[in-house]
This record gives sequence, C-alpha cells and structure tokens, in this order.
Amino acid sequence: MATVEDIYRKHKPKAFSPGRRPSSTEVWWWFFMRISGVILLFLVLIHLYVMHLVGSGVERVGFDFVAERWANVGWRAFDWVLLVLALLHGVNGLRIIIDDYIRSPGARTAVKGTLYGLTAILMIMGTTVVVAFDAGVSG
Amino acid sequence: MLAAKLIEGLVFVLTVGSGLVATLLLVDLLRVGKGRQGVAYKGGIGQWSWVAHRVTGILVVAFLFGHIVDTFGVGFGPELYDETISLYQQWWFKPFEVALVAAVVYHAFNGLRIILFDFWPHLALKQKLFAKIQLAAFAIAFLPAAFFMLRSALEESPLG
Repeated sequence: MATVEDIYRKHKPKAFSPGRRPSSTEVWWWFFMRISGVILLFLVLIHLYVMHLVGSGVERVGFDFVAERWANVGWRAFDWVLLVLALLHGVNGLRIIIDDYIRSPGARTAVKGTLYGLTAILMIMGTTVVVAFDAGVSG
Repeated sequence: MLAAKLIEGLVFVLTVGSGLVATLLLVDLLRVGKGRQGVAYKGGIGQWSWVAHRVTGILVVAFLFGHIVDTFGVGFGPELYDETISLYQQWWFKPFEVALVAAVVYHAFNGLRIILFDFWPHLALKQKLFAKIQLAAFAIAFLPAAFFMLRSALEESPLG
C-alpha cells in the first residue's frame, strides 16, 4: 500500500508548497473552531451540570422551570451565546465532513445548501424564543 | 397533542438518523485497518481519536438540531412544552441522555487535545501519551456523572 509519503512524493500537491497561502476564510473558520471550542467547553459543561445533574436532573425541567430560569436575563444571554456558538461550531464541522465524503459538486452544493438553510431557520427559531419568551403571554 | 408528537418524532428521527450516519462512517473507517483507501491517516490510537471526534460531533450536532426545535416549543405554552420534553423524562430515555453526555465530554476533551497540538506542535510527538491522558480525564469526568444519572433512572424503572 502506498504510504502518505509516497503519494506526496509522486504528486507533490500544490497545497503543500511552501509559497502557498491557505484561503483566509478557511483559516478564520479553523481559528473559530478553536476559540468557540474552548468557550463551549465551559458553557456546555455548565449547561449539562445545571440541567442534568443538579437536583433531580432532567425530571424537574418543564415550562415553569424555564420561565423561572429565563426571568434572569443573564441565563438568557448564556443560553443565546451557547446556541450561536454551538450551532456554528456544529454546522462548520458538518461542512468539513460533507467535503470529505461527498465528492460530486452537484450533490455537495445541494447538501450544503440544505444544511445552511436549516441552520438559518434554527438560528432564527432559537434566537426568537430566547429573546422574546414571555411566561405571562405563553403561559 | 399533535405538535408535541411531531417534535418528539423529529428528535427521534434525528437521533436514529445521526446514529446511522455515524455507523456508516465507522464502517467506512474500519476499511483503513484492511489496507484499503478511505479518509484516513496512519491508524493507531491517534486515528481512533479522530474517528471518535467525528462520530461524537455528528451525534451531538444532530441532537442540537432537535433540541433547538423542542426549546422553541416553550414559546407556545406549558401544554405543548411539557408534553414534548416528557420524552426526555422517561426512565428508558436515560441511556440516550448518558450517551449524549459521554459524546459531549469526549468531544470537549479531545478538542482540547487537538488545540494543544495545533498551537504547540512538538507536543504531537507524544500524541499516544496525550490520547491516554485524555481517556483517563474523560473517565474521571464522565463516570461519576453517569453513575448519578443512571441511579435516579434505575429507581424509577421497573427494575428499581
């Protein structure tokens, strides 16, 4: 079996030539994944601890629980930052996986287009409910 | 309520669907061991960490999609929301919840390991050691959490 080194020597891909600069958009997404990853580490672990371990865990979560939690604007901000970072981090990860496995340009565009459309809808749904939730109106 | 059942159905489809995609990825990656070409690096624990990172990422993002939709339901009042999330409160759902926590904790710690290698490349020379340290950290963080979560579910199950 040809090793990675063999393939490299045979093809000498331009991607590895010393003069080539990576696309700046990709560099920024690479950087975003690291920064958002570190922030998410804290946000998600706090979220899991508060929602799944404290008290009786998920059993105590319900409309009243959310209403009480979101009476505090700090928790709303926390949840919104968690929503935005997690969704962008997750979708960018999916984009990279799509590039790895879906080779045909048409299928790639279709799948990515669907994914981005879905992401926009989810971002709007999540943002709307975090910002506009009013226990008095919906409860 | 129909809307609640639809949202529960969506979460179910996303969970099963992402599980299937993750399994397909695993099957594709298992070919690496048989010397065929796939999306692969050099094998060993580093390769498996990469596989696990990808698989756990897919599982978590799939649940995130469903979770945003079920949370959206809170804006439509207690009747819809409480019925929707009652899915998560069934004792038999607990293993899935624990699996989600495992996926998140693994992905988080593995991500830290990747960041470490990105910014301090010489550390990657000891990648096997770091992979083992990371597995130990994962066990330390995850096992107690799993214990507490499963204990309460066991008491509610027919077995408890």
